[in-house]
Amino acid sequence: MNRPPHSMSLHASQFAMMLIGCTVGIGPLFIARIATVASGRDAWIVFLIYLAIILCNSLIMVQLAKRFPKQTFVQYVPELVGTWIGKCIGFILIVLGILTIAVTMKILSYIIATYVLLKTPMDMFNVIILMLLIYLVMFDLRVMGRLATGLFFVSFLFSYFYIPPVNDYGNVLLLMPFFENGWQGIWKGLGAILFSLSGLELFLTYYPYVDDKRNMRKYFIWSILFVGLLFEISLFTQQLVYPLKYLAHLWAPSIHYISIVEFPVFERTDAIFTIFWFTVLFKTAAVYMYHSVISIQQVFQVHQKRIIVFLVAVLGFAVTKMIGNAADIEKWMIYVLTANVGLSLILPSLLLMIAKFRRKGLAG
Amino acid sequence: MKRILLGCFIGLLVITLTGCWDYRPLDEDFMITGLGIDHSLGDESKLEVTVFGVAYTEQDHTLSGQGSSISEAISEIQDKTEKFLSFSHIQILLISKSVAKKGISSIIDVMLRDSQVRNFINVALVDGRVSDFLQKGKEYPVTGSTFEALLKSADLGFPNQLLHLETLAMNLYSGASGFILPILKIDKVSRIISLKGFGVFKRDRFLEEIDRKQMIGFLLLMQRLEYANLTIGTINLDNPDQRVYSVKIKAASTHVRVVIDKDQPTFIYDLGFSGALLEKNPVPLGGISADEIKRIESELTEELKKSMLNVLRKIQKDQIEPFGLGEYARVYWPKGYKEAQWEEQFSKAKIETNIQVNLVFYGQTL
Amino acid sequence: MGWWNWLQEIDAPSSQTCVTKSVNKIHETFINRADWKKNELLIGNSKAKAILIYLDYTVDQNTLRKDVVEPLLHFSKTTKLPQEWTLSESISCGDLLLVQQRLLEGSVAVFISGSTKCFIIRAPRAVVRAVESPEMEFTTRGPKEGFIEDASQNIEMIQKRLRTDKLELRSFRLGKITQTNTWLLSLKGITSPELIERVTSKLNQITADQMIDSCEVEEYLEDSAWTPFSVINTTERPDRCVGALMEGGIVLLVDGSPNALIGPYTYFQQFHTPDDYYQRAMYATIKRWIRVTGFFLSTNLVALYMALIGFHSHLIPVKLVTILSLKRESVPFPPMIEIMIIQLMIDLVLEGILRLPPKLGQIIGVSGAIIIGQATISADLISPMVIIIVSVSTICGYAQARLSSTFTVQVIRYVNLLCAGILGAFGLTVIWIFWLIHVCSLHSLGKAYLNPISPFSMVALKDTILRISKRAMGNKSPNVM
Repeated sequence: MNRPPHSMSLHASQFAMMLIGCTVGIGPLFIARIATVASGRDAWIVFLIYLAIILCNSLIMVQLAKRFPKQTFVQYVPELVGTWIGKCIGFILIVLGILTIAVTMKILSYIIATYVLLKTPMDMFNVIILMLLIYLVMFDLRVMGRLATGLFFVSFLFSYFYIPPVNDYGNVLLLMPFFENGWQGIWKGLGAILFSLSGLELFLTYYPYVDDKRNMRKYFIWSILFVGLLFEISLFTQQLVYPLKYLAHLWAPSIHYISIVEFPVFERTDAIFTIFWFTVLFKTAAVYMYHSVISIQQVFQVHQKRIIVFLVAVLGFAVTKMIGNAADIEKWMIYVLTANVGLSLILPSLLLMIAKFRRKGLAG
Repeated sequence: MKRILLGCFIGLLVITLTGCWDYRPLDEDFMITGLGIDHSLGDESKLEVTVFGVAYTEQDHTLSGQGSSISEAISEIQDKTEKFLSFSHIQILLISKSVAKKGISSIIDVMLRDSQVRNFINVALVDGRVSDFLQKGKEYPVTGSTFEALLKSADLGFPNQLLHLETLAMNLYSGASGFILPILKIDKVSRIISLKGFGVFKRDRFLEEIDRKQMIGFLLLMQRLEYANLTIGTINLDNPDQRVYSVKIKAASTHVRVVIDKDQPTFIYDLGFSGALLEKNPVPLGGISADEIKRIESELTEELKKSMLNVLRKIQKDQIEPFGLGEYARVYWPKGYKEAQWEEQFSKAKIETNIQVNLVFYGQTL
Repeated sequence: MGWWNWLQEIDAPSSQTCVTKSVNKIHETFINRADWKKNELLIGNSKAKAILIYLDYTVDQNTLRKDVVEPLLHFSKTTKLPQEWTLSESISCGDLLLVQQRLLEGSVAVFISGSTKCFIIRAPRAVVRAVESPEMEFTTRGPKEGFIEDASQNIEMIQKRLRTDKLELRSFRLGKITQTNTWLLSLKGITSPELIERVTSKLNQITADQMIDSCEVEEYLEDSAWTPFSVINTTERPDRCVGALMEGGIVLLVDGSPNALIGPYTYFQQFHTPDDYYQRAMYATIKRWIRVTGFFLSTNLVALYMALIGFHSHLIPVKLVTILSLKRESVPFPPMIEIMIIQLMIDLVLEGILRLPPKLGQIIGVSGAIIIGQATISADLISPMVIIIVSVSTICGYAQARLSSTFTVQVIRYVNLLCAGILGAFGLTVIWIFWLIHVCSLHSLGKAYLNPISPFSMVALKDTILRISKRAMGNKSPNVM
């Protein structure tokens, strides 16, 4: 086998595609319902505020990553906060990564079992998806980057369906009045939609693997804006189309509204659209799996990749067995992803302060 | 080589592990295209479900089953055929008036709960037994397109999704207090299905019937009218000056304003129409004068206003509000609006109309 | 060394034995060659004796008589020697291996008694076919010249389109026994040194005994044989080779093979034909899109049909489902078997036709298409829809730019069909992603196979699934690969 020399290095654009893919995975499926249940008609404003917070936080993450250009997050955390606490944080990240894989797979298999194959047991889907994931993660990071780019173009064809057909259904009155529930509603909404932008924290894991650091930081901010715009449009239009109370009844409104679109060859557009969700959710699971494998390798100082990949897969499968029905999936999803984002909101600013205080890493 | 063998082994394992659970070829399905729900003949406490579908043999097109719930009735139908009932291609849902009087929310819920049933199937009421409609005949509501064509031929244009299952569900779940469904009738001899009128619902219960002319007013109040054919005047043989003419009007602009006066809302409909003169009797020999056009326009305005107010009076008396004005009240009258009492509030609300008709096409060649 | 000076030293007695020894030793090597010939003759009117040895069937008799024997017989001080003599190489008598090699290449070895050197005069029997238009890569416009089996001729065909001193030519001998001449062509300053290094080291690693055609070299250049995608391109067209060189690629010419190897070769290049660059840009772009559509239809149409009919009848519009279900009602086989029967039948007919003379092939085609096809439908064994779907996908498979893409398509089609037959649309999606991962993991001589989509390059996209005008492409040469 003749492999290119720097087989672990990524292009900046490939990294952006990976990030977009893994952020777009779960959020838009549920955000419209969860956000509107929490903060009513102001959900779309809440998301804008959330996006601003995340953008500020991403700047902090960039500053932190800049100080350690050759190390991943779990590698430099022990340097900053001491070996044991560092290892603990690494361990928490690994556990969260595996939980995210499991949740993603469970959502994916639930969607498939609802729309595509109704009688096949869900474990079957999990096993097949895991096999595909193992096959992918066994390759180096470049393959993942290329796949992310390829899948981005595949899902690009479907991105039209992010926006429900507004012309006949839309009603501006459904959005009014603005700031209906005041700051209290917005505060409540912020807590509820914290899960939606999970995935951006992986910037810290993948930072050392990208050649072009400057472009990477640029693309990182751009991809947050892109994802944010996509979420915002999706949320806004769904609020425009669905009455508030009806939205609360839909498990995944983003799939639901597509049933309206009619095609000459295929009838159930929502079922066809599950292909799109398959690609993005698969990407999410893959990116998190790679993150978990890398983190395990670095926290426990193991170089054997194959065993770790299988271990992560088995653990992920075991967790999926613990998740039951749709309500359960949602509960797990919100807990796990909120923890992901919560850590990425707290840790980087804290660590950046410690790094500045203790003068660790490259300054500036 | 070892890896390849391992790959082959895993591949075979997948093939043997997956039992093709969902494999069911198309020809094993009984594709239901029309579903009807009625009361059992002679027993009001039981439901009768009739399915109409694609079948190879002539007599298998219609099947019926009875039960105290829809599922029970369907399982009785399943016993009658060796094929699997497939609900994914239902195009139309027919509900009898007697069932509709007791409420249709449970039926809509059953249909939406099944992920196989599409959300945009058409729903209609029928005058008479449902099973009469779902028979193979000269014309039958097998496909949604046939049904839509039937509605279009009614010379009344409105968005198709107004009658879709999804829209009904949206109405029910969002607490709107009423909606309309078309009522179909069948000629017993020629077996031709046609549109009889429309049924108004209060919450999920069928309340009363309105005819086509009133329907125009209803749609205007809903801001959903796209076009309509209006005939004004009647031929009176004794009076040669009596005029009759037909006009096709198209909605150009619709807008609702809310004016709050002394804590009471007034809803003002600003409606604009463009019209085309289709027929005129008697034919003016010297061409149609500007005065004549103006007169027609003002008569049309009056006619539309009258139809709107007629419907409004009726609906306000019934204490339902199917027009979506509640949203306006919520936004523009936040102090007085109470969601729970909105129907009562609406029945006392003032509604004004401000209609403008512009006769654009009147036939210059004449 | 001058011919005349050389003749001066012939009387040295020590070299007399050297010649006899060498000739005998060479004879020993070729003891079982029936065409081994050894002739002795006197040079002109001198006393010197010349020994000619050659392999009779490899040598052109005319050249032998005119250029070797006659000049030797009529030799005098004033004789002007024929060109072959002045260009001949002289080898030391002791270098037997080289002499043997030259004999096998169709040369005549002339030993002069008393001399320590031997003359090698090229007189190979010319079994070279005339230059014809390429059979597999036909173009409507553009040059009609195709490669032949003689590599030196092929190099000349490339050289004639590339009159530059930057053309580099590296020579290799591949195959321990066959000793096939192979040339690696590259352009100085355009081809990257790493690429040349990579190919050179791969060629040097070959330890096989034989190397008959370029297709064998191709297998050694690939990273992995377990892929239906070909990562090295082959061509019969010199213009395509020139395009590849200008793009920074390399060209490998193997003696005895009319197909040159071109690399690196990426996924999207399999939709490119030479015709694209000789036609209008817009037309070429549309053609490319048609080929891409053909590829996807051919690989997925059958599987999609299987998934829809077998698993997801709820996805088909009601009017279509009515027709399909009524037509399928009388068919006794499950859809998978039905599709397999027709697919195998078409593949067998094609396989049968491929090796038959054209006239017989027509008969098979007619009987396959009309008689069997008609009969199966009228016997209600197969539904007509399946025949339409399978034949469309087969035709799409042949609407590809390269014949090897057809094989790729065939493999993918069968695998997709199997997966769709097991798990329906889910299986199909899984296998799509599998193929995508697989394609992402492939490299062609170190270049990512999915280039330029991933890693993404906006500039390279101009000539990937689009073909913009040459003016807009700027200084960059068109990619004729």
